[in-house]
Amino acid sequence: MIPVISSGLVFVATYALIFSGRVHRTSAALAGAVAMIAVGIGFGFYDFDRAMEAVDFNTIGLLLGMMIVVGIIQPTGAFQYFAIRLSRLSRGRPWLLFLGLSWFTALVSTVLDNVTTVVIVAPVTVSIAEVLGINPVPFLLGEAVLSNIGGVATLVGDPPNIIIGSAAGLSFNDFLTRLGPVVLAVLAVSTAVFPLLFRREFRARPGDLENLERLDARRALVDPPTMRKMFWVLGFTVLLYFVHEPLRLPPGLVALIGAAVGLLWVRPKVEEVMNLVHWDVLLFFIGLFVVVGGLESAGVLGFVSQELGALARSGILVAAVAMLWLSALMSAVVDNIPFTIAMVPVIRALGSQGAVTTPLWWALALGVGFGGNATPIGATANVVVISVSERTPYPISTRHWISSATLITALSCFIGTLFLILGIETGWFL
Amino acid sequence: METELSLGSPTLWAALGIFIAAYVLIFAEKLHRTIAALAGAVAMVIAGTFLGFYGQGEALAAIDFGTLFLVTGMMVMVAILEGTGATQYLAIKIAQASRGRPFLLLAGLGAFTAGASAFLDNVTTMVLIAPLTISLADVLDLSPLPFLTTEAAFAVMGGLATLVGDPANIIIGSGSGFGFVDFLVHLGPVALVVWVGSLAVFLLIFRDFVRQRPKNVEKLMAIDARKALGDPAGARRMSVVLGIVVLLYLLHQWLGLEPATVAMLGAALALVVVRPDVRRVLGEVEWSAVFFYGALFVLVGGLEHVGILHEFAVLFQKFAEGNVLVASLVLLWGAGVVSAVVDNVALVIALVPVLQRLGHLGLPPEHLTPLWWSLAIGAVLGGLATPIGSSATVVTIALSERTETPIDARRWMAVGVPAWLVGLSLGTLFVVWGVLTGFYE
Repeated sequence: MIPVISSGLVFVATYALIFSGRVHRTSAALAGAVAMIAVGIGFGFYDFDRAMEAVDFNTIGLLLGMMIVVGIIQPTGAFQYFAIRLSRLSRGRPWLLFLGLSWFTALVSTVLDNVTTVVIVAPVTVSIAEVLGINPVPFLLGEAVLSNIGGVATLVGDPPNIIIGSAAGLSFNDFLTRLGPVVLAVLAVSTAVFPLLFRREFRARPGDLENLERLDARRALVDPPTMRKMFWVLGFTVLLYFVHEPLRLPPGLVALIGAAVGLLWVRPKVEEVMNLVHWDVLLFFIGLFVVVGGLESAGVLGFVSQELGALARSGILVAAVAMLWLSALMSAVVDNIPFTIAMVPVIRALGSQGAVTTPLWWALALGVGFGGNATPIGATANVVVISVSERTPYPISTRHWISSATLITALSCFIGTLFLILGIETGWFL
Repeated sequence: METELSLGSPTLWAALGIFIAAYVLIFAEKLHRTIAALAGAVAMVIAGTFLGFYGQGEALAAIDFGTLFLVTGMMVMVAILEGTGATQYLAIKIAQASRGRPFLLLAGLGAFTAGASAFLDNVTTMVLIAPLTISLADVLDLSPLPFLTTEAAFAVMGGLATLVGDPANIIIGSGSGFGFVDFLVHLGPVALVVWVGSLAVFLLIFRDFVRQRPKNVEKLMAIDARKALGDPAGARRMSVVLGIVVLLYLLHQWLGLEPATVAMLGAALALVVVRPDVRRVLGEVEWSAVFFYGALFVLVGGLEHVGILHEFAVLFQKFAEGNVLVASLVLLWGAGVVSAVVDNVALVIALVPVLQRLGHLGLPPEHLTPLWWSLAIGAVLGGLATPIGSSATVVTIALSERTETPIDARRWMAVGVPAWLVGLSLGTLFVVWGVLTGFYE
């Protein structure tokens, strides 16, 4: 019992420190990780080696690889080039821009990793906001939220979906036909709600439309040859993502292959590229993985999932709805990958007792997918856009996040619940 | 886990080919070493995945995260310390205590550099001390050259004393399982003797220089050291954190904490207590070096998985069992010569699995232990001989370019080669003594 309590205390203290905003979240996560290891050694449930096993280096490799690729592209001016082009296309109308950027992000997120998508789209967004002289916060928020929602639609859109798909034996088409409509509905509602939440920002007319006309997109492009090379690299990397499974190359490795090819071909100044990588994000996740890993080692996650299992025996509808909301709540605070991994044996055990488990898998996928939007640290994409925004004059605060994304999370979970009930009653989700 | 080694197998040649190509690229320095190592590592994992001898999982397992996090943690602490100006403050105080006499100033700054680099990253130590030395020499109207070369040599030699002083020691510590106190006890005395011996040699080389009478001593004494202290509160807090870290290092084996945990604990504590700009601090960490080490581990891991390192260890075992003293000295001088021209980290990362394997093959600990210490002495001190042997030297040379007497290869070797010879010879004496008396067993 001591491991459960002590690891729980460290976990709660770490999250309190992160949310309090009194120290940088990376400092807080690292302090929590070190405390978890120290407590783990003291009470014998955790140590440095186990902490390293708890870190999902596939995610870290993916982030690192894509950030290096973006770091090589950034000095070429390619992001500014596309920003100017897109701004012209939208004629400076914020809502048109919002629609275009966020739906593009959501669409790409259904096939590509959310992180990859956001790492590339966010710098373009910041450049557009600079060109138009508007506040990038609503756009960045929208991109993170919609990329998380978009990822729920397909088997490959989100790491939890991959885990669920392989554990439950559900196919790509199963995901698309069952979760696709839910995601479409949630996307539509979210895009309608966002302009309402950011009325002031969306009403702001960019002052310098004439200025925009005078901007020469090609001037912004400082280094076209490098940009062309990097687009080949990016295209090649995305292509590899599509065939990574038959080739048996994990996504993290694919991203690092892209980074290596880019570095070899372009030969940039390594120190400059390294400075453009968001190390605070990488260290934050390493710290968080270590903290949650301690919780897992101490048996806390197993405890939670057992309680859920007990609940599931009280009827499939109640169980599915409870599963959705509990997963959403859990993945708002812990990373959804370890939580999904912890839930898999519980649902399987229910199945072996003769219960119908398919609705539970869908509920889990919806809950962990939507729940990540609830807090600034609920999903990887959230942390990435916040870190990007901190390099602009408009940092995204926790208040910003709660006043918009949290509301959308609640809405999406409601819509998800509706679909879930409907799906179970009609038999579509069985 | 390991495949049977046969000369005709494509796996063997693929792994060996990628390894050699990557190492040639790294040492040729036409390409940034990090790019070369990363490309090699990625090629190794791809080849391993298709030929079935290596995969992402095995590659991750091959990375010594203890080393990477120890290096990162120390660099974070150094970056925070740098922001407080504490190092410059102490260096000015030392200069004032010497009253500008070249003899005392040379010895004082040398000793300070050695002490600082025993705990801090060598390059950072030089980046902090070299510009200050140049301005101090300017005030006294002395040539900065003797000071800078002495300091660079001491930055290299200082690293020998502790587990955290040099990346080579960090990797050896992690691979061998020796702790902070083990290093301090077994290499600390060697380092101390080497420092004293080299200082004597330096004073001999610069005998005319140190006999000079300094000018403008009153100007030196008039410098307000406290002005260098940009953040006095931060400096105080940071010295408390560093004190805790040193204490934990001394106790870490007893407490069961990995050195990496101690370093990250210090880093996290410093970040929370001093509350610096996290982005600036992380920006000053030398990520390309961390990345480079990680990629090297992956490269060497591939080689290990095809069994080449095992064969190499079998060969070396016969040799080491025959005469441990000869084997130790071959390792010491071999590492000393090789590290003079190439990066010692690349050498050590490749040799650590070989020594570990010797242990698995049943080489008794009393034969294995002297090999670890010999490797550390050779790899750390080897970098003294040439201007490209260590990154501390490279940085100092770059910083000296704005003075009237920039350090060139000849000027460096005049100091570096004698220091290298003295260091390795005294190291040899220690290893001989250690093996004969059983101190190194």
